[in-house]
Amino acid sequence: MTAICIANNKGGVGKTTTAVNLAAGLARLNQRVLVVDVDGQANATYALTGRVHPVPSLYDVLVGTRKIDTVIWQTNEENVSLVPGDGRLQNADVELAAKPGREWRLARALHGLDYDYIIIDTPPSLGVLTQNALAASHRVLIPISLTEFSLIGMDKLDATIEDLREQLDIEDLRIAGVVATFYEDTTTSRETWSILEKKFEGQLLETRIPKNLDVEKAHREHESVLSFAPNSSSGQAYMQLAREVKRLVPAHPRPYDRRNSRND
Amino acid sequence: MSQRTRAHTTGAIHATTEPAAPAPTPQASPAADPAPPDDATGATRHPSLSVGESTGAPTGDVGAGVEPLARALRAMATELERDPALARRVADAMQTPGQADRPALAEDAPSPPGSVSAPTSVGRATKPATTLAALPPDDTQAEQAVGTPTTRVNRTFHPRIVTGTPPELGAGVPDPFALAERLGEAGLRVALAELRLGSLRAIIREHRLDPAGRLVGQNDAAKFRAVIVEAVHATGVVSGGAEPKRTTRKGRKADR
Repeated sequence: MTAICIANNKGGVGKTTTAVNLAAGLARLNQRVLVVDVDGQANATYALTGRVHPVPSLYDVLVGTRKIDTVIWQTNEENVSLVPGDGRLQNADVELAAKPGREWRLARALHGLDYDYIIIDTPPSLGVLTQNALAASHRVLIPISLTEFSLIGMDKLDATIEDLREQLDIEDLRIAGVVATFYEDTTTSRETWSILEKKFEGQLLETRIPKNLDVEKAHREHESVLSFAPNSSSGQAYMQLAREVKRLVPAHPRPYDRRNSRND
Repeated sequence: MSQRTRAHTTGAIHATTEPAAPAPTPQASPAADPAPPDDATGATRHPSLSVGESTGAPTGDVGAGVEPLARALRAMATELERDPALARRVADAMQTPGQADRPALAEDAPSPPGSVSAPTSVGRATKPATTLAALPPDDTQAEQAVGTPTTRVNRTFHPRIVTGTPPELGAGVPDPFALAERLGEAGLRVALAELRLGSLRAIIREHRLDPAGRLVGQNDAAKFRAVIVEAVHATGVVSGGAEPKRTTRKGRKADR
């Protein structure tokens, strides 16, 4: 079991789309995948099941009123399960703030689950929910859109991951890679790509996710682009991303057991 | 002198004995029309108007638009007479405030505790209930009748409100066999109509309804729905015949 957090404090960079389609791609590589929707907007939940803010959800798990195995759903994608999110998660940052071991609640909840990969979709912030997601993960995958604005604020995510490593004593939390999204065959895209190559030397993944309308259409049809339009440019790119991630971050054969998922 | 007017929908020619002057409308000159008020609202019914017929007045495209509506209403009435269960559900839905615009999917399935029903009418313009008979011949006459200034059509952008799959369908991939048992065929069709490609594809996959793989790679929701309904028919769930033969693990478990 390997947990991968899809994180970027910037919104609109393709976190949810990457989470949903990476999960579907890994499932097509015969991996059993669990998607955890930590985002209060619950867009991953909608994209995989068509449900809008279902209850009960991850919120009930984080506040301690339900066990996680009671809120795991089969999604519209084969071999992809889901812990859904709902709107109440938007208040969870405040509600969890005063609770002891608040950063470890997700890690403790996931303990013992048996999947090949857990993909955690995060909100565009660096609050308690994102900290829970990072603390529960072995690796972080950072989507960055190839636009001018995307480079602003990247240092903050780097610093947060570094802080968490020290505060929570999770030295094995590593950046799996940076994946470029919304790629277009334009000068801006190519220039931003070159900047990212220099900034994230050795971490920038080879796969570039093109900007493509099929992704939006797939969301509307409540499935991944790999199901809706497998031969589209984005469908093929996400399949390539899944292969690349599987190669870079192999799945551990053991059930989920975050070494530091303790109540401290 | 007689004036010939053509009923727009039926094409029938009615001979009247009106003078050459333009025929007064009920709203412009109520005294000229002896028809009594239709109901408590005081709406005046045209003497010969019923569903499928027009007033016979030269109202431009109004008559042309009535015939398709009349056909649809007749078809609905026939379907409701044929299927008492559907009629009951429609009647229930019409009697429940705020639910009239949504089919009653789960009359016997309460939502889970704390669940929030998705809003269904948010952002839609609501129209007061009226009948065909109560409508004046055209919009202009209606405005003159109530003495209000001409109003513009509201062209404000109303974004699509995403309500998602109805929560009544439960968690995970919906089970069409269970839905058919609970809601009947008509209810199943209504439920399937609300599902998108992803959910339909998942139903077919989870319940192994396409063993030959003929639907692989297709994005035809109508075909998916037809395959699902056909599979449910084949098990006899909706016909009330033999005990359904479940082929899925979930189905066999439910039977046990």
